[in-house]
Amino acid sequence: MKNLFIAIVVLFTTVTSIEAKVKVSTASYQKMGKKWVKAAKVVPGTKVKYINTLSNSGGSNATNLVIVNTIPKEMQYIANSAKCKGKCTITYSVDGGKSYTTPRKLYVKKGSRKIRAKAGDYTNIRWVVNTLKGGSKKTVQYDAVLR
Amino acid sequence: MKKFLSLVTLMALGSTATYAGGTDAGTTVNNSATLSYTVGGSQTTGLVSNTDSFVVDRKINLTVAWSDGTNVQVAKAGDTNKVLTYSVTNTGNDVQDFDLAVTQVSSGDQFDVSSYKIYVESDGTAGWSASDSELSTIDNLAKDTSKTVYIVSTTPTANDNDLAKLILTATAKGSDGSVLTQTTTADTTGVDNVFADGAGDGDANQDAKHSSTGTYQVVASGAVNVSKSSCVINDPVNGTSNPKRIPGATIRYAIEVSNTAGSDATGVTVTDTLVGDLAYSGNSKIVSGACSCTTASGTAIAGDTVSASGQTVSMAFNTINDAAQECAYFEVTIN
Repeated sequence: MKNLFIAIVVLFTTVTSIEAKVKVSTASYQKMGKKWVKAAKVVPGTKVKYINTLSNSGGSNATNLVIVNTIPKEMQYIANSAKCKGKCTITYSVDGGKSYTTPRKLYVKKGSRKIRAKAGDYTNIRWVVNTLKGGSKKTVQYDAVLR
Repeated sequence: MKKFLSLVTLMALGSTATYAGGTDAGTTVNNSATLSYTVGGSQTTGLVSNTDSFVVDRKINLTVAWSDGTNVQVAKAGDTNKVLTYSVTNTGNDVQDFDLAVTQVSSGDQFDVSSYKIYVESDGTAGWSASDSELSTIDNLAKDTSKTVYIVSTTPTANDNDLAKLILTATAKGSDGSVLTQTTTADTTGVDNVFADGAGDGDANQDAKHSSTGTYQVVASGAVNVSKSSCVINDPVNGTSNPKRIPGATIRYAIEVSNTAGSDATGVTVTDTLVGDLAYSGNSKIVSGACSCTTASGTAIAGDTVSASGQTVSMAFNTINDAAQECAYFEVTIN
């Protein structure tokens, strides 16, 4: 809620001063037969695809777009499922978003030992998209299973 | 010990099944994303998307497993209070009731039990006792938890090794005992029922049921077994010092009869036909215990006799107690 409040404030103060206006929206889908439909009939074990859509309604290019998605605690991330259309960098967090890095460098503590984090340990996903042209859209996505 | 083991198995199942049920039915799962970006050197941060949500539906899933491991033995003459033990586990994601029903299989076994009752473990002591509850429903079983269910039967007279197979079927019901219907139409925004169970021994996939077969087996009758051994007592050349089986030698036969029938054997007689080269020469007796041909020790049992008629030797052991052995000794000479 606090974030939302800040976001609204930021939106208001920036909208007038720049020529690009980028929004992000999110939606969840599940496979029914061969079709992906809006997620609704979900039970433990069901795979859900989350798609975040970026849309730039301004006339200028936006750059260095950073999208962060906290994985819902009921969901378990599926390894290698995070993607984006076009060029982007994807990193992950296992500490609630304090730090992000690539899967090879992600470790979690197990007792006194540090072990390589599994996909199910991931708490956040971060996509960095270089450029979103004015008037265009882009999606980033990931898959997760209901725990 | 067996009951203890099955309890341990159950507990192990319980601990590995911690995640099986999964997120509770009715939970709302929310997702949102945040965005920051730069335009012309000025940065915008903290943009938040809409919140996407769905409600977790009710997964109906259960496992019924017969846990005795080996066939439960029943007496040939019929038996009472013979117990098949099962576990019923709620592997769904909500609290459910489970109706219990028993079917006697119609093929693949030799007899049906005369009557049975269903009990649910309730007195806190593992294993069936009359103080457990006779029930046909498990009430309000939480997700990832199990109940032990007993089928307690009376069995009829049957033949050795015959099998009686009984299938325990559990049917998931609403926590108020209502019949569950799978939501087959388009999803609703509320909690829908999704049947996720596999097929058991007597039910199909995704029917909110699961089942498992337990087996009774009639204990085979024991038997009276006979074994024969021989040793050389003396020969005309060496006497009793390392005698050989040569013409004129005396051979002792030892006939051992053991009773594993589970009850005393009466009127036991054994006959042995000697080959033509052997002639019966007496020195016979029947003693208690196992045979030892070379020593042939022991006192003859009064009334038990060995007699010969031509080449036929008859041994009257009369009564041999359950789990006992007796031995008949007699001698022959080689012509």
